[in-house]
Amino acid sequence: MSQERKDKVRGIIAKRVPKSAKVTDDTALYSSGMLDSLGIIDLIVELEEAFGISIPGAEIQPADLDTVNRIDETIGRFGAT
Amino acid sequence: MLFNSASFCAFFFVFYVLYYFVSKNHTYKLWLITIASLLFYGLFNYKFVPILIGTGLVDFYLAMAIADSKDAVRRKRLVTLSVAMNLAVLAFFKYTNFFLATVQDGVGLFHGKLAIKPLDIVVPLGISFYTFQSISYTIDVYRKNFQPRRRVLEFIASLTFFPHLVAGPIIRSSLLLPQFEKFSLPAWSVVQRGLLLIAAGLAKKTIADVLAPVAEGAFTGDHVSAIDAWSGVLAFTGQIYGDFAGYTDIAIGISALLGFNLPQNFNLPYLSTSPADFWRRWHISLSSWLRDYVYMPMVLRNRKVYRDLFITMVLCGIWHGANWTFLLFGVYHGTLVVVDAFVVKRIPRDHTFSLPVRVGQVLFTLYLMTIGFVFFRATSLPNAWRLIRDLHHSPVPSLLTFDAVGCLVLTVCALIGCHLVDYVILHVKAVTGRAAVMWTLAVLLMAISFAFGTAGAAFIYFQF
Repeated sequence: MSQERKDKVRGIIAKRVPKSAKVTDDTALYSSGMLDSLGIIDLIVELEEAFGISIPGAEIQPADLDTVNRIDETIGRFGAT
Repeated sequence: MLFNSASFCAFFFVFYVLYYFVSKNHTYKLWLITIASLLFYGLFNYKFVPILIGTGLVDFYLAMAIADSKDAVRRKRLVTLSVAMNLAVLAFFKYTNFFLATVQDGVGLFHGKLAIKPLDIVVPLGISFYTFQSISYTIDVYRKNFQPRRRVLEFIASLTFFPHLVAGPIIRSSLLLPQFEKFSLPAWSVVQRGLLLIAAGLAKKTIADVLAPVAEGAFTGDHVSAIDAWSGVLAFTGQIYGDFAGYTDIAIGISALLGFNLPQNFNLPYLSTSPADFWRRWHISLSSWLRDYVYMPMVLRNRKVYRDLFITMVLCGIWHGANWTFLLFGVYHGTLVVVDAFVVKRIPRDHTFSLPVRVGQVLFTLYLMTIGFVFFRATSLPNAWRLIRDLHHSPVPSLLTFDAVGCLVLTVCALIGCHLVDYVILHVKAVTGRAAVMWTLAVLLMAISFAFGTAGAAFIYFQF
């Protein structure tokens, strides 16, 4: 299940970064500038819709969404399966 | 005691000799840095030392209490107390008289009379910088991004660290404190780079001081011709960069000589291709601080990107000073970054621009930034409007005299010169990798400072 979830996250990220960018599960997305704040907010909205969860802004930091691994952990924390 | 003064050279020489002799003992080094930093700061105005130490100590103990508490409500209260205390101190010293004058003017608008005497307040030097460093410390501990330090001397030494104390860069405790746990005399290659940065900083400050009278001429007095207005505004654009980036270079260079690595604060800002790009390259330590501690927490909570971008840039403007011109500077940049974000969102993510378009973007961004600096430098709003009008439609005809054209050309050359120095140091490996080339460049830059510089000329960002 977790692998499936991570694949889904990878797919969402792939749509948001330049096609030429090589993104591994540990590639920094926000802190490297690959995703800006607009991108982060769009990403949260898409994650919420894709996994049927709610991500409260007060309980996360940009670092929680900085890599595929961190995103996977974060959405897991909010009940994504 | 300014970096570009003989007294600072003497101070630093004595300090460095002592630093060398105590370099094997960590505690002695911390004491030496703390005492030297307080002496450096106290020589500007000793009355502000208790505020610096007092707020620092409160934050140190609050951070420990935050880390030791398991109660989420208590943790939140403690971090709120820390932020509120720092902002209250900042607001009192920096904004009280502005607030009182605004209230008085507001009452006057409704034909009322309210005589409020401005308070006799002197803004402590560097307060905007060190309060932001302290705030970042307690917030990082609250967010569990950083473990609080248990040794008060280390914390105070890092907070008061004299190279960056009075005009930045704003170094987060999470970056600086770990370096204070373990530091030693640097390798020779680092010393060389530190000396090169100091030479570059002094040269940039010299260029800034040379440009200052040209800017002064345009910003004071009555209408000037368009060519003189452009010379003056471009001169200020060069002056503010040379002055602030020069100070930062010297701060980073001095820190390198002591074995500390401070992050870059400028990255060729006048080659930015958009307003948002400019803020990623200009005063990076402030813009990234505002991004991480103001903008992102706001935008993650309410998801109103454009509104929060605008608010953050307005706060950025007010951070510079209590004045309507700084407020307008913030509103102006807030509008620019919002429009920028709106446009960027509509550009396909893999779109690349051709070289001529990119050159056009750089020139247009430089134009926008130059206009922004009019608000920054102007003494009042009418003064800013007057100069913006002169730039575009001056009532004084432009006479293409040798002096006027020569002044404009030299101003542009100085502006390019500042960036050229940075470009060479940051990106040309042939310079940074070869000692002979590096030393030649350092000597050349020092020669510029000795030939044209004014010892002890004040730095603009000291007022913030």
